[in-house]
Amino acid sequence: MQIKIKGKIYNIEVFEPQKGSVTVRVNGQEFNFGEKKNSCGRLKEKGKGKGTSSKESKKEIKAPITGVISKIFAKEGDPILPGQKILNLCAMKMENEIVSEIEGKIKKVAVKEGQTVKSNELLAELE
Amino acid sequence: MVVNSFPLLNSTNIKAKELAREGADPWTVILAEEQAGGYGKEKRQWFSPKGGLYFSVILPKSDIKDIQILTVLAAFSVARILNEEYKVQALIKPPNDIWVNNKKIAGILTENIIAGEKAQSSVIGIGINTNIKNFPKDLANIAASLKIETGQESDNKDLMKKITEELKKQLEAISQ
Repeated sequence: MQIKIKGKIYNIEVFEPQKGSVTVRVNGQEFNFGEKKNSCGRLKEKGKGKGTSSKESKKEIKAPITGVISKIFAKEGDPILPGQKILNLCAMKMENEIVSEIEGKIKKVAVKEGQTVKSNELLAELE
Repeated sequence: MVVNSFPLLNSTNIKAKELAREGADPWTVILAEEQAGGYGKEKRQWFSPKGGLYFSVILPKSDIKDIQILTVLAAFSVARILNEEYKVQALIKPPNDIWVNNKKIAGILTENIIAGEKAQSSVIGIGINTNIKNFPKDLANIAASLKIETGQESDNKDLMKKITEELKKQLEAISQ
Protein backbone atom coordinates (compact mmCIF):
# COMPACT_ATOMS: atom_id res chain seq x y z
CA MET A 1 0.00 0.00 0.00
CA GLN A 2 1.19 3.53 -0.65
CA ILE A 3 0.66 6.78 1.23
CA LYS A 4 1.31 10.15 -0.31
CA ILE A 5 2.50 12.92 2.01
CA LYS A 6 3.32 16.31 0.51
CA GLY A 7 3.92 14.70 -2.87
CA LYS A 8 6.25 12.00 -1.54
CA ILE A 9 5.17 8.37 -1.87
CA TYR A 10 5.73 6.04 1.09
CA ASN A 11 5.50 2.28 0.64
CA ILE A 12 3.63 0.81 3.57
CA GLU A 13 3.26 -2.80 4.60
CA VAL A 14 1.30 -3.97 7.62
CA PHE A 15 1.65 -7.51 8.85
CA GLU A 16 1.40 -9.67 11.95
CA PRO A 17 4.79 -11.28 12.64
CA GLN A 18 3.21 -13.16 15.52
CA LYS A 19 -0.05 -13.25 17.43
CA GLY A 20 -0.45 -10.11 19.48
CA SER A 21 1.77 -7.80 17.49
CA VAL A 22 1.56 -5.74 14.35
CA THR A 23 4.48 -4.49 12.31
CA VAL A 24 4.20 -1.48 10.04
CA ARG A 25 7.04 -1.21 7.53
CA VAL A 26 7.51 2.26 6.02
CA ASN A 27 10.00 2.36 3.14
CA GLY A 28 11.84 -0.56 4.72
CA GLN A 29 11.87 0.82 8.29
CA GLU A 30 9.84 -1.24 10.75
CA PHE A 31 7.63 -0.03 13.59
CA ASN A 32 6.31 -2.64 15.98
CA PHE A 33 3.12 -2.37 17.98
CA GLY A 34 1.79 -4.57 20.71
CA GLU A 35 5.10 -5.64 22.18
CA LYS A 36 5.92 -4.96 25.80
CA LYS A 37 9.10 -3.09 24.92
CA ASN A 38 7.09 -0.51 23.03
CA SER A 39 3.85 0.54 24.66
CA CYS A 40 2.91 2.78 21.74
CA GLY A 41 -0.25 1.46 20.21
CA ARG A 42 -0.86 -0.96 23.04
CA LEU A 43 -4.47 -0.78 24.12
CA LYS A 44 -5.20 -1.09 27.78
CA GLU A 45 -8.29 -2.83 28.95
CA LYS A 46 -10.97 -1.05 30.86
CA GLY A 47 -10.13 -0.80 34.52
CA LYS A 48 -6.40 -1.22 34.05
CA GLY A 49 -3.81 1.51 34.39
CA LYS A 50 -3.67 4.18 37.02
CA GLY A 51 -5.83 4.09 40.09
CA THR A 52 -8.87 6.22 40.67
CA SER A 53 -7.89 9.81 41.23
CA SER A 54 -9.22 11.78 44.20
CA LYS A 55 -12.08 14.24 44.03
CA GLU A 56 -9.56 17.05 44.50
CA SER A 57 -7.60 16.04 41.41
CA LYS A 58 -10.84 15.67 39.48
CA LYS A 59 -11.46 19.38 40.11
CA GLU A 60 -8.57 20.10 37.79
CA ILE A 61 -9.46 19.26 34.23
CA LYS A 62 -6.31 18.67 32.24
CA ALA A 63 -5.58 17.96 28.60
CA PRO A 64 -5.27 14.20 28.12
CA ILE A 65 -3.38 14.76 24.89
CA THR A 66 -1.72 17.59 22.97
CA GLY A 67 -4.18 19.38 20.70
CA VAL A 68 -6.15 22.50 19.87
CA ILE A 69 -9.17 23.78 21.76
CA SER A 70 -11.88 23.80 19.10
CA LYS A 71 -14.89 24.78 21.21
CA ILE A 72 -15.57 25.84 24.81
CA PHE A 73 -19.01 25.11 26.21
CA ALA A 74 -18.67 26.25 29.83
CA LYS A 75 -17.83 29.56 31.45
CA GLU A 76 -16.84 30.66 34.92
CA GLY A 77 -19.63 30.24 37.42
CA ASP A 78 -21.51 27.62 35.42
CA PRO A 79 -22.83 24.69 37.45
CA ILE A 80 -21.50 21.40 36.09
CA LEU A 81 -22.80 17.87 36.40
CA PRO A 82 -20.85 14.64 35.96
CA GLY A 83 -20.60 13.86 32.27
CA GLN A 84 -21.31 17.43 31.22
CA LYS A 85 -19.28 18.74 28.31
CA ILE A 86 -16.69 21.41 29.19
CA LEU A 87 -14.89 21.79 25.87
CA ASN A 88 -13.79 20.11 22.66
CA LEU A 89 -10.14 19.32 22.06
CA CYS A 90 -9.08 18.46 18.53
CA ALA A 91 -6.01 16.24 18.40
CA MET A 92 -4.58 14.00 15.69
CA LYS A 93 -7.76 14.84 13.74
CA MET A 94 -9.80 13.27 16.51
CA GLU A 95 -12.53 15.27 18.14
CA ASN A 96 -12.45 14.86 21.91
CA GLU A 97 -15.30 15.97 24.15
CA ILE A 98 -13.81 16.72 27.55
CA VAL A 99 -16.44 16.13 30.23
CA SER A 100 -16.43 16.57 34.00
CA GLU A 101 -16.08 13.56 36.27
CA ILE A 102 -17.76 15.30 39.20
CA GLU A 103 -20.49 17.77 40.10
CA GLY A 104 -19.34 21.31 40.81
CA LYS A 105 -19.05 24.83 39.52
CA ILE A 106 -16.59 26.24 37.01
CA LYS A 107 -14.02 28.25 38.96
CA LYS A 108 -11.81 29.03 36.01
CA VAL A 109 -11.53 28.29 32.29
CA ALA A 110 -7.79 28.37 31.63
CA VAL A 111 -7.82 28.19 27.83
CA LYS A 112 -9.29 29.93 24.79
CA GLU A 113 -10.74 28.60 21.56
CA GLY A 114 -8.00 28.05 18.99
CA GLN A 115 -5.32 27.66 21.66
CA THR A 116 -2.84 24.81 21.39
CA VAL A 117 -2.45 22.90 24.63
CA LYS A 118 0.07 20.30 25.70
CA SER A 119 -0.74 17.01 27.34
CA ASN A 120 -1.48 17.49 31.06
CA GLU A 121 -1.94 21.27 30.67
CA LEU A 122 -4.72 22.73 32.83
CA LEU A 123 -7.92 23.38 30.88
CA ALA A 124 -10.38 24.30 33.60
CA GLU A 125 -10.85 24.22 37.34
CA LEU A 126 -13.96 23.28 39.28
CA GLU A 127 -14.94 24.18 42.82
CA MET B 1 -21.60 -7.92 14.86
CA VAL B 2 -24.67 -5.93 15.91
CA VAL B 3 -25.72 -3.54 13.16
CA ASN B 4 -28.32 -0.83 13.75
CA SER B 5 -29.52 0.34 10.35
CA PHE B 6 -31.37 3.58 9.71
CA PRO B 7 -32.74 5.03 6.47
CA LEU B 8 -31.78 8.54 7.60
CA LEU B 9 -29.72 9.94 10.46
CA ASN B 10 -28.42 13.36 11.24
CA SER B 11 -25.02 11.75 11.75
CA THR B 12 -24.01 8.16 12.46
CA ASN B 13 -21.33 9.43 14.88
CA ILE B 14 -23.90 11.39 16.90
CA LYS B 15 -26.12 8.30 17.11
CA ALA B 16 -23.14 6.12 18.00
CA LYS B 17 -22.11 8.46 20.83
CA GLU B 18 -25.69 8.45 22.10
CA LEU B 19 -25.84 4.63 22.07
CA ALA B 20 -22.37 4.37 23.64
CA ARG B 21 -23.51 6.60 26.52
CA GLU B 22 -26.48 4.28 26.98
CA GLY B 23 -24.12 1.33 27.29
CA ALA B 24 -24.15 -0.23 23.82
CA ASP B 25 -21.55 -2.95 23.39
CA PRO B 26 -18.23 -2.31 21.67
CA TRP B 27 -18.29 -3.10 17.97
CA THR B 28 -21.94 -2.13 17.65
CA VAL B 29 -22.30 -0.57 14.20
CA ILE B 30 -24.61 2.29 13.26
CA LEU B 31 -25.35 2.37 9.56
CA ALA B 32 -27.33 5.02 7.69
CA GLU B 33 -28.46 5.15 4.07
CA GLU B 34 -28.30 8.91 4.21
CA GLN B 35 -27.10 11.62 6.64
CA ALA B 36 -28.79 14.97 7.00
CA GLY B 37 -25.86 16.51 8.86
CA GLY B 38 -22.86 14.30 8.17
CA TYR B 39 -19.64 15.97 9.27
CA GLY B 40 -15.89 15.54 9.38
CA LYS B 41 -13.12 17.25 11.27
CA GLU B 42 -14.05 20.62 12.78
CA LYS B 43 -17.66 19.87 11.89
CA ARG B 44 -17.02 20.35 8.18
CA GLN B 45 -19.95 19.02 6.18
CA TRP B 46 -19.63 15.53 4.67
CA PHE B 47 -21.75 15.16 1.52
CA SER B 48 -24.01 12.24 2.49
CA PRO B 49 -26.73 11.50 -0.05
CA LYS B 50 -28.32 8.09 -0.63
CA GLY B 51 -25.93 5.74 -2.37
CA GLY B 52 -22.91 6.45 -0.16
CA LEU B 53 -21.77 4.32 2.75
CA TYR B 54 -21.99 5.99 6.17
CA PHE B 55 -21.33 4.07 9.33
CA SER B 56 -19.90 4.40 12.82
CA VAL B 57 -18.44 1.79 15.11
CA ILE B 58 -18.49 1.95 18.90
CA LEU B 59 -14.98 1.08 20.04
CA PRO B 60 -13.80 -0.74 23.16
CA LYS B 61 -12.85 1.57 26.03
CA SER B 62 -9.19 2.46 25.80
CA ASP B 63 -6.56 4.84 27.05
CA ILE B 64 -6.79 8.09 25.08
CA LYS B 65 -3.16 7.93 23.95
CA ASP B 66 -3.78 4.53 22.41
CA ILE B 67 -6.84 5.68 20.53
CA GLN B 68 -4.65 7.88 18.34
CA ILE B 69 -3.59 4.84 16.42
CA LEU B 70 -7.17 3.80 15.71
CA THR B 71 -7.77 6.47 13.09
CA VAL B 72 -4.64 5.38 11.28
CA LEU B 73 -5.60 1.72 11.56
CA ALA B 74 -9.06 2.54 10.21
CA ALA B 75 -7.51 4.36 7.26
CA PHE B 76 -5.33 1.32 6.58
CA SER B 77 -8.36 -0.95 6.83
CA VAL B 78 -10.43 1.14 4.42
CA ALA B 79 -7.60 1.54 1.90
CA ARG B 80 -6.74 -2.15 2.02
CA ILE B 81 -10.34 -3.26 1.43
CA LEU B 82 -10.87 -0.74 -1.39
CA ASN B 83 -7.63 -1.85 -3.05
CA GLU B 84 -8.60 -5.51 -2.75
CA GLU B 85 -12.27 -5.23 -3.69
CA TYR B 86 -12.15 -2.57 -6.39
CA LYS B 87 -8.56 -2.79 -7.64
CA VAL B 88 -8.16 0.96 -7.24
CA GLN B 89 -5.01 2.62 -5.97
CA ALA B 90 -6.37 4.03 -2.74
CA LEU B 91 -3.84 6.28 -1.00
CA ILE B 92 -4.01 7.44 2.59
CA LYS B 93 -3.68 11.12 3.30
CA PRO B 94 -2.71 10.76 6.95
CA PRO B 95 -4.26 10.32 9.24
CA ASN B 96 -7.86 10.15 8.13
CA ASP B 97 -8.57 10.59 4.43
CA ILE B 98 -8.49 8.14 1.54
CA TRP B 99 -7.84 9.42 -1.94
CA VAL B 100 -8.18 7.82 -5.36
CA ASN B 101 -6.90 9.57 -8.47
CA ASN B 102 -6.07 12.69 -6.44
CA LYS B 103 -9.63 13.03 -5.17
CA LYS B 104 -11.07 12.26 -1.77
CA ILE B 105 -13.14 9.09 -1.75
CA ALA B 106 -13.45 8.36 1.96
CA GLY B 107 -13.08 10.11 5.30
CA ILE B 108 -12.72 8.93 8.86
CA LEU B 109 -13.54 10.79 12.07
CA THR B 110 -12.77 9.43 15.52
CA GLU B 111 -14.59 11.05 18.42
CA ASN B 112 -13.94 10.44 22.09
CA ILE B 113 -15.76 11.42 25.22
CA ILE B 114 -13.08 11.86 27.88
CA ALA B 115 -13.36 12.14 31.63
CA GLY B 116 -10.05 12.38 33.43
CA GLU B 117 -7.46 10.23 31.71
CA LYS B 118 -9.89 7.75 30.24
CA ALA B 119 -12.06 7.79 27.18
CA GLN B 120 -15.55 6.97 28.47
CA SER B 121 -16.53 6.13 24.94
CA SER B 122 -14.98 6.28 21.51
CA VAL B 123 -16.61 6.03 18.14
CA ILE B 124 -15.12 5.95 14.71
CA GLY B 125 -17.15 7.22 11.78
CA ILE B 126 -16.40 6.23 8.22
CA GLY B 127 -17.90 7.76 5.11
CA ILE B 128 -17.18 6.31 1.68
CA ASN B 129 -18.42 7.65 -1.63
CA THR B 130 -19.58 4.36 -3.10
CA ASN B 131 -22.64 4.53 -5.39
CA ILE B 132 -22.61 8.30 -5.86
CA LYS B 133 -23.01 9.14 -9.53
CA ASN B 134 -22.34 12.85 -9.35
CA PHE B 135 -21.26 15.56 -6.94
CA PRO B 136 -22.32 19.17 -6.53
CA LYS B 137 -20.18 21.70 -8.42
CA ASP B 138 -18.08 22.68 -5.39
CA LEU B 139 -17.06 19.04 -4.80
CA ALA B 140 -16.85 17.76 -8.38
CA ASN B 141 -13.12 18.47 -8.71
CA ILE B 142 -12.08 17.23 -5.29
CA ALA B 143 -14.35 14.25 -4.59
CA ALA B 144 -14.36 10.80 -6.16
CA SER B 145 -16.74 7.87 -5.88
CA LEU B 146 -16.19 4.18 -6.51
CA LYS B 147 -19.05 4.25 -9.01
CA ILE B 148 -17.44 7.06 -11.02
CA GLU B 149 -13.92 5.63 -10.78
CA THR B 150 -14.68 1.96 -11.46
CA GLY B 151 -18.23 1.79 -12.81
CA GLN B 152 -18.86 -0.82 -10.11
CA GLU B 153 -21.99 -0.84 -7.99
CA SER B 154 -21.21 -1.44 -4.30
CA ASP B 155 -23.03 -3.53 -1.76
CA ASN B 156 -22.72 -1.02 1.07
CA LYS B 157 -23.61 -3.44 3.84
CA ASP B 158 -21.10 -5.99 2.65
CA LEU B 159 -18.37 -3.35 2.34
CA MET B 160 -19.14 -2.07 5.84
CA LYS B 161 -18.82 -5.58 7.27
CA LYS B 162 -15.50 -6.20 5.54
CA ILE B 163 -14.02 -2.93 6.79
CA THR B 164 -15.31 -3.43 10.34
CA GLU B 165 -13.92 -6.97 10.46
CA GLU B 166 -10.57 -5.74 9.15
CA LEU B 167 -10.46 -2.95 11.74
CA LYS B 168 -11.40 -5.38 14.50
CA LYS B 169 -8.68 -7.76 13.41
CA GLN B 170 -6.05 -5.02 13.42
CA LEU B 171 -7.19 -3.65 16.76
CA GLU B 172 -7.32 -7.02 18.46
CA ALA B 173 -3.80 -7.74 17.29
CA ILE B 174 -2.36 -4.66 18.98
CA SER B 175 -4.54 -5.01 22.09
CA GLN B 176 -3.20 -8.36 23.22
